[in-house]
Amino acid sequence: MTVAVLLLIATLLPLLSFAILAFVGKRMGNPLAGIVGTFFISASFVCSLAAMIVWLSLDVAEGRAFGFGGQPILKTYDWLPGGLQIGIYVDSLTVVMFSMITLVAALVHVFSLGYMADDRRFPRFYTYLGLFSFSMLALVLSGTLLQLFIFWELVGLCSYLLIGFWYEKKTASNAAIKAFVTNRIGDVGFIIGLGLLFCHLGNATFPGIWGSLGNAGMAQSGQVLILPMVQGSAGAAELSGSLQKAEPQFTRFPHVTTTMLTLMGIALFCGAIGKSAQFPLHVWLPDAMEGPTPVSALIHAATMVAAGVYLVGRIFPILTPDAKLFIAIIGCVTMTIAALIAMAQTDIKRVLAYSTLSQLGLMILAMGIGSWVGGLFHLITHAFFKALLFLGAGNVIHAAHHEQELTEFGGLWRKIPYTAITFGVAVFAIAGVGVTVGDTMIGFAGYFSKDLILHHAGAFAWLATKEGGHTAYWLFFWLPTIVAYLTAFYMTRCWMLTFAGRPRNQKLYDRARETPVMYIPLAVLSVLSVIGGTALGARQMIESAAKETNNYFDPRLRPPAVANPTAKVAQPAHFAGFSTAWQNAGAYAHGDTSTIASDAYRLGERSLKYVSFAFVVGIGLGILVYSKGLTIPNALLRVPPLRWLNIWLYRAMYFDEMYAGVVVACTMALATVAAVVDRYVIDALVNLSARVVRRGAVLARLCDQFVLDRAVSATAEMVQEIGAAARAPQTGRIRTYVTALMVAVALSLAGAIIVVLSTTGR
Amino acid sequence: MELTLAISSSPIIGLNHYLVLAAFIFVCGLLSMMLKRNAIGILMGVELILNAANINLVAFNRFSYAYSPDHKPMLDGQVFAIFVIVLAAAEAAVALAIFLNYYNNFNTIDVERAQTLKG
Amino acid sequence: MNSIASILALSVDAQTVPAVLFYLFAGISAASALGVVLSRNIVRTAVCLLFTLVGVAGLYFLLESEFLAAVQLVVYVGGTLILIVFGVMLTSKSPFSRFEPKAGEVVVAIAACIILFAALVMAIRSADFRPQTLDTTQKYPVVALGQALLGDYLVPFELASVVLLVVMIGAAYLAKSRKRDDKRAVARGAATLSQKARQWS
Repeated sequence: MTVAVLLLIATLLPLLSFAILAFVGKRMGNPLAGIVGTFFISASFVCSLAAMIVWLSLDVAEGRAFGFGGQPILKTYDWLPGGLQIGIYVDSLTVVMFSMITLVAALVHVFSLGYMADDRRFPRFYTYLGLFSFSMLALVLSGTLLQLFIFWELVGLCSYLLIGFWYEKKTASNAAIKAFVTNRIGDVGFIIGLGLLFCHLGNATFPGIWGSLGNAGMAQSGQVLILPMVQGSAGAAELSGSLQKAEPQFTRFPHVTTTMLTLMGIALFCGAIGKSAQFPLHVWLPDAMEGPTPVSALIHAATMVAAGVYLVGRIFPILTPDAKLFIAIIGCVTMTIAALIAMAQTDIKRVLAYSTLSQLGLMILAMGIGSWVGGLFHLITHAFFKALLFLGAGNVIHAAHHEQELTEFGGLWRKIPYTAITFGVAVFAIAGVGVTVGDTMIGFAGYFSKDLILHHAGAFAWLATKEGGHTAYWLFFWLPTIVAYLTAFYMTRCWMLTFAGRPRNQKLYDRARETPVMYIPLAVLSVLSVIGGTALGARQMIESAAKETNNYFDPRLRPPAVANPTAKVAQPAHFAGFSTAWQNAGAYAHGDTSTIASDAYRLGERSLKYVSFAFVVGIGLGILVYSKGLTIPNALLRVPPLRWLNIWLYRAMYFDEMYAGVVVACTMALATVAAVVDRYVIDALVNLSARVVRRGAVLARLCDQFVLDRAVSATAEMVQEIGAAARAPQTGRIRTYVTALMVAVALSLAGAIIVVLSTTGR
Repeated sequence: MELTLAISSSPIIGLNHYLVLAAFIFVCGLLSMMLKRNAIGILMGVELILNAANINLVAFNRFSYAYSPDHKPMLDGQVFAIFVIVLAAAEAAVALAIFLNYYNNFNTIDVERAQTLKG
Repeated sequence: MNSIASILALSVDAQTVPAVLFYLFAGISAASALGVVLSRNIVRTAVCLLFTLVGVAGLYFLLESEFLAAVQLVVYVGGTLILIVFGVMLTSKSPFSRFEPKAGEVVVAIAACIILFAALVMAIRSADFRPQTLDTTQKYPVVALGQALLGDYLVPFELASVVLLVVMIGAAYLAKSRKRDDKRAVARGAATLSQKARQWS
């Protein structure tokens, strides 16, 4: 519980920083606002670190091996009555993510003190950073999928604000809008997935979802699953006991087909496609490099874009094999095309952006083929060295006065040696430099995580084909292998062009210099890039988290849920091995000692020999080609096929142009159709109704004119005439009145006398 | 015709003689009210009418003493006549003041012009 | 009465003298009243009215109402008529300005008045007033009139005096010529007065 409180404090500190800076940041001015923001995020990091230490000491107290961590903590509160809950879920993954995020964020805060020093909106920058840190931490801490979605959108907003931070630049504001809109496309899928999940489960917590849908992972196509009742925290034992007497309290449809589950998984994964910039929606991330470089390091390399991988990790138990296949394919495609494009880019930040895409694709692929540990472990190590790369690039850009073209650099290691060294460390880390001697692995951080993924990929491919699956499953191994070579090559190219050789722009070279406050974070990150793979217990903690999560789907820990045998349908032959492979590929690592698991492990290990020396080849080739600056590559590019390839890759395979063409053309065509419909159908209807109304109005007018108006006028005239008649005698002349009076009196008197005379008989 | 008949038939002057005279004066007053356009002429017509009434009052008073209960002289008619004279004087004063005002405002004494308040 | 009769006609009897006098005064009154109607000059109208009023005063003498006759002469002839003449004088640009009625009006008015007069005369003739023969011994002493005014008729008498007071004030107010700058004039006067007071002190 102490851990949960510490993590909650760590989450709320950046929010406090945001609130303070939002209100008085502008008054604090240039250095002070940054120092305040840095102080709060550092405090948050201290809290996270304390939480991690407490968490690790828990298992020691409980008599287990170091690195396992405590039991997962789930704390929920009813937000709205009727099952809408919010809460926090803490397991080892959460703790590790917290430490990673707060550390990178703190270092980026420090780095920005130097990098953003001259900016007019310096306090606002720190305000946004505070809000982003809070959102990201809260996302990781979320206990339910709905809550995760809320903070998911909030980090999207921060990303938008920070990409468009220099909104005076047209490209920056366009990039911000592009990122936001592209993310919305993915989020539509996320919302659909959320809706499906709500429909079947209500707003369940993560363990609740896993408990009820966890057997999806081993379900065969076409099966019907019977959902158990979902309650606050459903443990495995409690779940199996309650399976028979399940009451559909939150479950509106107790039966769910695997097709529905597949759809749900793919829909939720759409959110990850948008946020982690996977293949169809990857176009926003390179453009997001228009934002300040520290932002690129924090948001668009280390943390936010990795949230998609985190999401896949959280929904992993409910993914069906079909959905996982889809995820694996998407990851694989992204990884490959991004690595190819990165080879031809000349903007240093774009090289890093495509490198990020490639690595994110690798993580997604790892999740797709079932390497839960590999994917998330690579997330952590990648965060360290990619943040390092971006901050190093930021240092270069800052030193070069905002010049980003690799062709303008060269020989900078003499001017900014610390940056050159740390950048080189990061290149080694991402290239996966390391060797295995016997059972001991020595190397940089990327070596361990990549090794884990590729090992799993080899075992997976072997198992999948062994069961009669399609040979194409081997692509899931061979493509990452090729990409490992490519990665080593293009990262070396980047370093060589920047730091080695002779200066290509003497003026730029002369002015370049380093700022101390900016290479302190680089030093810290480079240390982590070296030891991140072995020390810190990151891998062990992720493995323990995997065990917690896998409780809900590992077939050896639970009896299978009640499957409907009649609904079993024949599977296509090429698919046959996939689910088995998926189940068993990582089994050995999880302690399974059965024959098939150990065979798979050994085969995966054997296949590693194809990739073990990728870094040697890649780095060597890179040094060879770029040893004399741009001379050799320029010579190579005179060969027409290579030149065309280079142009094709340089333009990022024309994705932007294709989208512009297709989307805009489709929109225009749709608009034309709509215009035609509008003009000839809707307008006609409107005109018709207008004409009818007009005719009616004419009739009404005639009626008005000749009946009503006449009546009214006649009344008025009558009244007027009566009035005139009544007015006529009222001359205002006193003599007229007297005369009238007298005439009246005389006439009445005369009349009276005549009557009297006639009655008296005279 | 009637008048001459009345005179010739009874040499003794009776009540009817006074009444006929009063009627004549009354009619003359009325005529001058109806025909005079001068406001003061109308005022004079009013005075004539009041005098006609006074003649009636005094004549009835004179010829009806016999009806008094204790044969004391009855003075009601004369008292009323005095009041009429007093009020006629008052009326003349007020009327003349109004006419003066009217003359100041309209610069004429013609009553035909006094129709500003007519609707 | 007898003395007047003896002066005018010694030979005629006691009943003839009052009759002659009546016709004399009645003739003066009636003729003058007709003159009031017919005269187009306002000054002449006033003169005719004077004779009517004098004739009526004479009739009051014949009716043994000497006090009333005196009041008629004093108040009417001496007061009201003078007032009217003053009115004529004040309101007339020229004393001979005249306003003629329309012919149609004249015809209507005369016709109405003839009918009215005929009707009145017929009514008087047909009415039975049972007139007594004049008791010449009956006198109407002024003392009795005074007693009546301050006795039975005290309240109307006092009311009449109040009416006269009100009329006096009202007439004076109405006839006053209004000037817009009265108050300013007063203020100016006060200012000069205070200036003088300062000089003197």
